[in-house]
Amino acid sequence: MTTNLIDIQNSDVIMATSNMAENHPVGFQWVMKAKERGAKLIHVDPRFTRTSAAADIHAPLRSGTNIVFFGGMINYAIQNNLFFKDYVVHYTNAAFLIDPAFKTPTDLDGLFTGWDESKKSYDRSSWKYQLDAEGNPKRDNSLKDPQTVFQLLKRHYSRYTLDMVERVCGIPKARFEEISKLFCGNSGPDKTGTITYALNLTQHTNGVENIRALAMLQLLLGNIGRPGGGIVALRGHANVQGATDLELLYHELPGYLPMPLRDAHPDLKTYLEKETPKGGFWTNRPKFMVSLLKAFYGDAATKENEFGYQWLPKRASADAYSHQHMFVDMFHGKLKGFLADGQNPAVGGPNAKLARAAMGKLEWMVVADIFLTETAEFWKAPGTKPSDVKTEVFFLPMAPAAEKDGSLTNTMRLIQWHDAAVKPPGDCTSDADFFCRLAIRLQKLYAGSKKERDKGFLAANFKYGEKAEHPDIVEVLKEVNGVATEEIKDKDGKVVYKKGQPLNTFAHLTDDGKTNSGCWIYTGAIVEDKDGKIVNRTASRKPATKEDYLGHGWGFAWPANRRIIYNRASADLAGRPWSEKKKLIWWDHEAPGNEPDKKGKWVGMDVPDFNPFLDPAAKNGDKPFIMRADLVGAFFGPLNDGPFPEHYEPMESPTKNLLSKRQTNPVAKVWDVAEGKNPLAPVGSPDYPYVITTYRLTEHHLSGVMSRYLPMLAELHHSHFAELSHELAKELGIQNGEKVTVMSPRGKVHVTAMVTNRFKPFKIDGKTVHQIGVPWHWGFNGVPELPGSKGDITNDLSATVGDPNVYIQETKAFLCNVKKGVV
Amino acid sequence: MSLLQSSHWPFLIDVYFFLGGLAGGAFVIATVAGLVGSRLYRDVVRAGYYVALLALIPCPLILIVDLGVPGRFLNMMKTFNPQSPMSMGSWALAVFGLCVGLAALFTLIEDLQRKNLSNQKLIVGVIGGVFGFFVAAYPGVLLGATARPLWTNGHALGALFLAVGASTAAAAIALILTLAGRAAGEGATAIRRMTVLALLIQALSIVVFIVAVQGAGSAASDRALALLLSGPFKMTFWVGAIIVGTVVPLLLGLADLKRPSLALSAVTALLVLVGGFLVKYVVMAAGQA
Amino acid sequence: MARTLAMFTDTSLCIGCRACQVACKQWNELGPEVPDWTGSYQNHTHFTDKTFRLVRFFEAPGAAPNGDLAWLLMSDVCKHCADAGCLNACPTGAIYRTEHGTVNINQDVCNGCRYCVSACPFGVVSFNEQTGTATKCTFCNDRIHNGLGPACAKACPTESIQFGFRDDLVVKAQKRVETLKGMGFKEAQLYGADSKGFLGGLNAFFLLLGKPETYGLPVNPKLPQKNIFVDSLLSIGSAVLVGVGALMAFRSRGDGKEG
Ligand SMILES: Nc1nc2c(c(=O)[nH]1)N[C@H]1C(S)=C(S)[C@@H](COP(=O)(O)OP(=O)(O)OC[C@H]3O[C@@H](n4cnc5c(=O)[nH]c(N)nc54)[C@H](O)[C@@H]3O)O[C@H]1N2
Ligand SMILES: Nc1nc2c(c(=O)[nH]1)N[C@H]1C(S)=C(S)[C@@H](COP(=O)(O)OP(=O)(O)OC[C@H]3O[C@@H](n4cnc5c(=O)[nH]c(N)nc54)[C@H](O)[C@@H]3O)O[C@H]1N2
Ligand code: SF4
Ligand code: SF4
Ligand code: SF4
Ligand code: SF4
Ligand code: SF4
Ligand SMILES: [Mo]
Repeated sequence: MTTNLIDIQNSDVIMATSNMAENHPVGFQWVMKAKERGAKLIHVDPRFTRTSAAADIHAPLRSGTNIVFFGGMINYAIQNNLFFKDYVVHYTNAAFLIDPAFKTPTDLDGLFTGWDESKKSYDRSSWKYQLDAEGNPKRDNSLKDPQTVFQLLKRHYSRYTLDMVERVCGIPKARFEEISKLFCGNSGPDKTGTITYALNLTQHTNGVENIRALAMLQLLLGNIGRPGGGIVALRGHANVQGATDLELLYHELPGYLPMPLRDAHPDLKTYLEKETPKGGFWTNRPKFMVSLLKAFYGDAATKENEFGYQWLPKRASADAYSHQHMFVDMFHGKLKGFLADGQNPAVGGPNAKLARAAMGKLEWMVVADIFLTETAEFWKAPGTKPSDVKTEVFFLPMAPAAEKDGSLTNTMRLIQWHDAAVKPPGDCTSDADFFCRLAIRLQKLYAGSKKERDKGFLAANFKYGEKAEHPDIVEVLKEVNGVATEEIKDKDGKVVYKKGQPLNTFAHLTDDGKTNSGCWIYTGAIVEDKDGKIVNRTASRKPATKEDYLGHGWGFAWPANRRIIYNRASADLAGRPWSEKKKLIWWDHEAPGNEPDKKGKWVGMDVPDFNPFLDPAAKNGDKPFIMRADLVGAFFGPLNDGPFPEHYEPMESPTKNLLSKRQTNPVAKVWDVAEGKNPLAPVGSPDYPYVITTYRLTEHHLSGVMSRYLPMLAELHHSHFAELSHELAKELGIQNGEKVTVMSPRGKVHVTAMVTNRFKPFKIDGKTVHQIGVPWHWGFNGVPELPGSKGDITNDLSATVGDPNVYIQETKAFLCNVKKGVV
Repeated sequence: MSLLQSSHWPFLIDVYFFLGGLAGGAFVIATVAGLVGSRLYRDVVRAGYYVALLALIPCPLILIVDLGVPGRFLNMMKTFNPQSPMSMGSWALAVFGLCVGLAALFTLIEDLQRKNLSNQKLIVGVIGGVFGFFVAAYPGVLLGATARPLWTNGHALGALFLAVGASTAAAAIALILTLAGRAAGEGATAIRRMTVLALLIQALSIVVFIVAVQGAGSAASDRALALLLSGPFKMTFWVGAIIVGTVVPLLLGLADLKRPSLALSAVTALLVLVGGFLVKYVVMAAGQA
Repeated sequence: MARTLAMFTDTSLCIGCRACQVACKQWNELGPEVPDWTGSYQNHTHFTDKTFRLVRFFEAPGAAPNGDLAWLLMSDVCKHCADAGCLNACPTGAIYRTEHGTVNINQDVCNGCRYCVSACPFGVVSFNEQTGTATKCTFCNDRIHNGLGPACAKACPTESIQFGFRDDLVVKAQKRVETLKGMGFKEAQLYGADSKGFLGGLNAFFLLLGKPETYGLPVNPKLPQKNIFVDSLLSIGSAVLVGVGALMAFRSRGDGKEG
């Protein structure tokens, strides 16, 4: 999230594209606040949800057509001159010139230049800027040159007309126009709009491009880095932001450092050369990487041994190891064991039948969870004969958040500390205890090993505080934050950091091994005050005030307790707020500078996302997007599927792609799974005529273990259900409350029909297309006294297909059939 | 989908309302008969007070059983809430119970010792009569003072319940006299007249009740009335309460007065008793549905 | 009596999350119960002995200011009526008015007669089969006497449930109606705010976005006990008729034969 939930109250218009009221109800209070102040709320969703109920206007769009929606709005803003020209010219790459060889899907019927049909991938050599003699991108600030990013963009989205939106998305033209006017019309120097998104955009085979399309619209309207603007990326689990920051992911190391590839990154030097850009803040990457290695391997990490770089596991390929890869490999017998720590893929993973079948092929599986999940009991699933399952399953009872100290990082990058409220009962332990104990035991087992590959593991430190069995989480936070590994002195010889003292800022990280940091963006979360006392800033609880409406005294937001990132963009080129109404930070000429004889400093209501003493008139003093090498926001931004988002239909779709001959994303990932475990329905399949989307309900939590098992929550919904329109129900002779069967090529579920006005059939290119919705919280376990707390697993319907950049599943749009009764 | 909830008073409460009404009616009839001619109507007076006692005895038991915990019945006796027909009713029931007990005791003493206690009985009878009326009528008023659409709009339920109490009491006394072989006496004739008169008041009350509910004109009251007149309770209401319980006995009773017959008297009395119960039952059931 | 406390439920701010419903259950230690199928997200048809707050859902096609579907959400609760049918009905005095103006049931005194259940114009009071007593929202009597607001209000993420002094809240609510009207919610109205209106005003009052009927609420609920006068008069009439009838029945022949 570029912004902060509290700041939503300053928006003039909010476009919720996710189901925020239901899935982020607490954050939604700020949307309601904005509404009370007169802001308008738009909700874009195939279904009419509790967010729509709070909205001023609802745009029902067929699942999987988001790029047409955003593309249509980009086109509308350009055609009607509603974009924020000063912002676009100076703060984005709109004025940059692109290589003349570069062609877009407008010219190539759905493809970008460089497509190689045999390799099913792009040669990206033409996807680049034209550079001047000094290696800087050439630009045309008038935006007139046909090779400017702006003109290419304009041309690319000129196909995304109001008519096209109506035909593809199914949103009536007049309604789309009204929404576009409302959203685009509320931008500029004294207006801002914000957009929320979550899985509604991500869970598609063009998930990343969906989000880029949204981001481009926000750039075009000058909505990023400004109060009431931004991109509200609403995250999932209470700590999923923390999990991504610390990178419980296969492709990155903590702090968004790429996970080395075996072939591309043979040594630290190559890795750093390849992965460190020439400009922008990421030029500091070597400091972050070396400090990370120091955090991993401690004293064993030395300059001589590349700080232990060789001990790091490396990826053999970028196209491997994702959740979906893992289960396909498991099914294909490539994995022998599996540790499921706090996840329930028997219910939550796509193509869950495949996931459960894959678990049955393991030799052993360990489930560490606070409840006996369906994963732990996959061998008891209906239709499974326990005696046929050979997998040896171990269950470890764990302690949930309330039973342990630690921090959670919420959706607005806010790290909040919590103390254990109660002791875990019985044998339950915290995950940290478990992993440290396990590691220490393994170290004992491996002690004395002479193998080079074991050295790193043996060198790694798993002892935090006095008791090895029970790590002190404050010590863990210190390591994540980063400390001086030896005494650090300034050039006058004065001690700046004692050995072991936590660092105040990531600006103090070095690439010489004198500092460590488990996750550089968290530096500053825990510091030492003047008296040498440790101050855990994540535990501070000063509520927001009128003067500090962003509440900087509440927890610690990475980076550097900044609440709105790219906030340099809230001021104009000269450093003045774009308008009084929308001021956030500005350049104060009179403020004392960083040197006694200098004046001028960025001041205001947030921590500047910028060198606070960089004069707007100085070189790069007007470039807000510091995390990008070229320091500007990117309209042109190459991903695996192309530099501009282009619409392709979902892998399973009721209709042909109306924009080009390319039906689906040419680079999307489709797994070929043995035993026909991943069949897909063809375009316009008569057997699976309806679009289906899967989603959450406020009352339930994800795979349902933390809600279905709890009587008071389990009670809140009668039973597993499917929402469908009166029109479809009538066609199929289905009554509200009746049992129905929903089926896809992968499986079927029996659910209760909820016939509602909140679903309406779409008119897609003149034809009626029905969509239904099925929440996915149910599984075969639940509260015995509440039969409705158990239900079929929705993910038995979904497919093993993925986005080409991050391999996320496509569970928001696929095809199904619905039959009356239990069939 | 109505929000309103129902007390779900069980069948036993219908029995209580029936017996309470019967007791109240019997007591009043006995007292009036005693007032008019304690000798002439000796049988009626005796039967009336005994019937009142017999009908009343189960009443507190029913209430206690319904409340589950016996001691809780006493909680009613700790307050006096004039706004609450139930509170007033329970007090009335207590006083009435005392009067019934005394009246029955006096009657018993008279029967056994052939003493004349008519003065004492008169005093107890007059006081008890007032409470007898109260006990017969209050359940109807109690139902009227709820939010149940059938009851709250009916207004004549107290009147109706009182009339049913009177008709069923008269019928019960008539039946006893008939069975005791005293059908030919003055008392028996008078009590049969009483039955017919009470049935007329009962019929009138039903009409007023229906008209009142209809007149309320709200969707809820219309729905509630429909339950009774054309919904699931229509058979019980039309056949049971109206035809069998009111119209037929009225006609038979009139015929019986013209040309008295033992069988006719007995049948009439039985129909009145059954019908009277059904009237209360169906009002309760439809009102709670 | 202290200044009257109230809860103002502004349904225009409600997002139907049901945090209030669960918070109430949790605080009051009301157990779970098998839900009803209501055809929507609502899990019970009406209040129960284990559900003192009930979020209700109504689909109203065409009712949004722009003519779209409206999904009206209402977190419903005991109204703590100034003239409370339940309180008046109670024969034991178990139902009482607190010094804050709220209506509460003393579980130790209640005898389980269930009269209050039928006497509430809003179907609030529910009978608990286990304890054999009548139950309903306590206005978090235990909390408000300890300086905490009601659990439901505390849990509400959007401040749809507001707690405070009644007079203050009414002023706030009136302003809110004006604002909403300005935003195109023509039907926005307060329900039960007027202390001169029905039931002497509700101490838990509501802002509705449509007519009360749309929410299944009585338009002009009346105090059931108002019937007592008329019903009693009719009963007396009936008693007089019966009495006179009896006199007539026994008099007509019995004249003079007494002796
Ligand atoms: N109460 C509750 N809150 C939660 C969770 C929970 O389980 N329960 N889970 C948490 C987690 S892990 C996550 S990731 C987030 C997810 O938060 P959301 O993304 O809001 O969650 P979903 O309900 O999966 O999907 C949102 C909506 O996308 C709609 N949709 C489907 N296809 C499309 C499309 O193509 N375009 C658009 N615009 N909309 C579409 C669906 O109808 C659905 O209403 O929620 C978090 N918050
Ligand atoms: N069809 C469909 N499928 C989906 C989605 C969708 O929208 N549609 N959404 C996807 C998304 S966004 C997500 S995030 C996933 C979620 O899928 P999962 O993460 O598999 O689902 P959860 O139910 O959250 O599982 C978390 C588990 O962690 C346990 N737990 C809680 N606290 C602790 C703890 O402190 N320690 C340990 N060890 N365990 C703990 C809980 O009991 C629970 O069993 O599902 C995905 N699946
Ligand atoms: S469940 Fe927790 S994280 Fe999610 S909205 Fe509620 S309070 Fe926030
Ligand atoms: S709403 Fe019902 S239960 Fe609540 S105070 Fe009023 S009458 Fe009593
Ligand atoms: S059930 Fe209890 S609270 Fe209700 S009226 Fe009877 S005694 Fe009073
Ligand atoms: S005030 Fe207390 S008892 Fe009443 S609904 Fe709210 S939480 Fe429940
Ligand atoms: S907690 Fe608030 S927003 Fe949620 S349902 Fe209750 S009243 Fe509505
Ligand atoms: Mo998620």
